Amino acid sequence: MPSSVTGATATATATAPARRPRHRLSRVAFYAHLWLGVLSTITLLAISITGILLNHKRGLGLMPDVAHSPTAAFGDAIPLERLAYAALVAAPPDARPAWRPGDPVDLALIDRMDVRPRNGLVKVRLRDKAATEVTVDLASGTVLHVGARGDVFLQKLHSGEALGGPSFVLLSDFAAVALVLTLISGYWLWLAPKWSSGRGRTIAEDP
Amino acid sequence: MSLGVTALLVGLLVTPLVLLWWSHHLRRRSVRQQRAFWGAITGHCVAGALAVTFGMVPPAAWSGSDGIRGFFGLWALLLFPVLAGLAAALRRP
Repeated sequence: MPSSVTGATATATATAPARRPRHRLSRVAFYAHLWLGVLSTITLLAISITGILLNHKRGLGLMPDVAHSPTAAFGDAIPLERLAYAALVAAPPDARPAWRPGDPVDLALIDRMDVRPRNGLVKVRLRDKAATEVTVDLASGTVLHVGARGDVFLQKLHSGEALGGPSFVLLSDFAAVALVLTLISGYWLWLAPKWSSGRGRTIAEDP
Repeated sequence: MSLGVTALLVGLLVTPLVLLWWSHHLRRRSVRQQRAFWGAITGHCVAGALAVTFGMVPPAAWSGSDGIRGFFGLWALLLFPVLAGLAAALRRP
């Protein structure tokens, strides 16, 4: 038998036990990559599309963008209750079906009030289907804008909450973990054979 | 959890698992099973695209009965692969 072949056999025998755990790891990486990739595809597709839409929500007109400067000092701002009342009066009747002007402010109708002192405004978001947002001047109570927040539902869809509550955030978490594991296993499947062949060549070239 | 959301979760997680399991040693399976598999894969891909599209319809645009959105957004991922797989299996060669 030629000495080169004998040498190669000896090298293979010597490196085989060292390669075995890596081969097993590659097999696990391959199946993790395959199964997690297939399982999370549609979820990740939805998360990616909603993520892109949310990144460009202003440009796409999904949220009202009211340019405004303060008309008085922040200390002169009118009480929140009056701002909420002004917002409810200005809101479309569909957004506040049972409430009429003159009634006390119904807190059940209001989701949140986002005060922007540097812009001199408050954004009052209602709890209707369209997530109507009324922008009100902090100092005068003048309604600056009334419009729907299209990004609220997209945000809930992005997190998984839209499917039925906060517990569905776990679905989004699963997709994120699956993506990370798929990335890691993908890198392993790409680099491990190169590393193996590189080491094999080094051992073979070693006199 | 509503029946629709359960159908969505089954279509989203269980159907791909079943299809993956089915794809192992596909060449050793009968021609009818192979056709059913490719039908189910096609059905699932189409359903995935439809579910993502219809799922993004904002709540303000939802109708009272919400039938079309509910069907494509929640049920398609479960029903399309089954129906497309059956159709492909029963198709004459």
